This record gives sequence, structure tokens and C-alpha cells, in this order.
Amino acid sequence: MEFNRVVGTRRSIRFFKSWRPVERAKIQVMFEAANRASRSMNADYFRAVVVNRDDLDAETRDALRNPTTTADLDLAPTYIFWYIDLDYVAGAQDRLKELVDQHALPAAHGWSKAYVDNFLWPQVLEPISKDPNAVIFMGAVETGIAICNAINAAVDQGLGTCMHAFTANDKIKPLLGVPDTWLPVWLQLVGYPAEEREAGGQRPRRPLSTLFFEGSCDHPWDEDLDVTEQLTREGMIQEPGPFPYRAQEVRMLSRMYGLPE
Amino acid sequence: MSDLQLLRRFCAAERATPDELVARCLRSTTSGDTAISAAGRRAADQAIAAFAAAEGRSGREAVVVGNRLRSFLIHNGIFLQGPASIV
Repeated sequence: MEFNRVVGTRRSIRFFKSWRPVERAKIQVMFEAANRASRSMNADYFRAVVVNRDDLDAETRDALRNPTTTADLDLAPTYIFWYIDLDYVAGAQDRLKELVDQHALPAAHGWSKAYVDNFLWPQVLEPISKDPNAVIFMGAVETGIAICNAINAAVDQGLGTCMHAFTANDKIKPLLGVPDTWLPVWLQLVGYPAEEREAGGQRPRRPLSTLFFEGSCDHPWDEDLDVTEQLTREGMIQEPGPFPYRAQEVRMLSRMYGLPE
Repeated sequence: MSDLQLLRRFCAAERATPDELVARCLRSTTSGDTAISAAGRRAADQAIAAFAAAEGRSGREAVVVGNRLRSFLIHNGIFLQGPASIV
């Protein structure tokens, strides 16, 4: 699928084909996409553990349930537990110098190994590593970027996915052998959509002019309608929801799975 | 059994009116606002599951009966999910 269509086709999928497992190869593609994501310091902010729903015992699955995430856990065959590794600063000094060696951080932009060792590390990165708020803030932002790549990789492969609040860490942590330095972020549910991949149409979004500005905040972005038309042709902008039959689609899926209507 | 008949039976089992079932899932905040009660919602969810079992329902039937009752709370503003029947 072309990139613009992947972005435009992404939905939070809430009805999965509970009976259809996700191929391990497709999970690997998601992981590789996450691993290729932009990251400051070339640090490894995130960790993820993939688990098949049917490999979890009933007690563990029940522990994951909460009033806002229950049916989804039954329907999705694959769970990915995403974490921030709060130790991500460790090794940053060496990784940055590696980027200097690769000329990714070139002298043209002021970089040198001496700068990393004598200034950046002692004056910036080490202090950040001792500030819990900064560590969590940066970790959350950078992990989110990686997850975004994984989401788009899932969509590109015909999978559906949805991010959920992550509770019951006390039960999951020992089960998965999660180290103390990993902070739970999101539970990503993955599977083949039981609903149409359009899931009733594209979700409402506000105009670019309300979110983006040019030059200063009192100059809203002036949308070029030719570009808008191009993006519509290429699938980033799609037919808005709800499709006329969306309510019926949800009703039928609910009846199939015995869910509330 | 219709949804209303089912709700009537559940209300009898819970010794509550439909409005009281909803009210049990709510609480007042210190500022006087109304909020969802996590404990109340959990209790309602468990009561629904217990009711389905007490009615002799099991498997998919228990899931469906429970979720029909959850629908009542959902449509009265209580965010609640029940299990799905995937067997």
C-alpha cells in the first residue's frame, strides 16, 4: 500500500476476527518499523513484548480486563505490551560517538567525539538521566514515535490495531519477566479486522488551519486545495464516517460476538 | 425473554429499580459533580455476571444475557464493557 493510503486507512479497530491468528512475520515487520523510527541520542527508548492471546491463561486475561477494555481482549488474537525502558540514557554516549564516526552527526554541524564526552554527556544527558520527569517525558515521546511506525506497518499489512490503557502491570510484570526499569505505556491489540478496514469511514478531524500555523500563531495554515485534492486521490483523505450502513455493521458484529447493542 | 423482562428480573434480584442500578454506578465528587464510580461499576459488572450464572446460563448464553443487561447501563451513560463470545 502506498504511504499516503496507509496513513489514511488507519483506524482504531475494535472488532477483530478472533479466530484468525496474526502471522509472526507480520509482527516482525511491525517491530522492524518501530526499530527504524526516529529517536534522539540514537537511544533505545522502547521495549515491547508480543503475546498470543491464547497462550495466556484465563486468570491472566481476566486480570487484564477493566471496565473499558474487556471485549477487545477477547477479540484480538495478539497483544503487544509496550514499555519505556527508563535506562535508555545508558550507552547514549557511545551511540552518539558511533553516529559521529558514521558522519551522521558531522563536524559541519558542530559534532565531535570530544563534544559528546566533555559537554553533551556531563552537562546535558547525565543531568537529564537524573531527572525522573524528563526521563519519562522523553521516553514517552520517543516511544510514541516508534509505536506510530508499528501501527502504520500493521495497517500496511492488512492488519487492524488499537491502543489500549495498560492496567494490571502487577500481574503481567512477573508473567512476562519485565525488568524493574520498564514502565508500561500502551497495550497494542492486533488482529485481522472483522469490520471493514474503513471501519465506517474516516474519523472527523479539524481543519489544518485550526492546528497548524505559518510564520506565527496568528497566521493559520492556508490549505492548498490542489494538495488536498491530490491527497484525496491518493487515499490519505478518505470518505468521512459514518458510512450509511455503519450502524448496521456494528449491530451485526455485536450480535456475532454477543456484545451489548 | 425480552430485554425489559430480563431487566425486570435483574432488578428483582438486585432489589433495585432501574434508576437505582444506574445510580449505584455513580458518585459525587468533592466539587459536587457526578462521576462514574469505579467500584460501583465493577460491582454492577460482577452482579450481572452472577445473575447470568444464577439464571443457569453458561457459555455464549451467559455472555449474551450479561451484555443485554450491560446495554441498559451503557445507554444510561455508564461506560462498561462485557466479554465477547468467541466460541
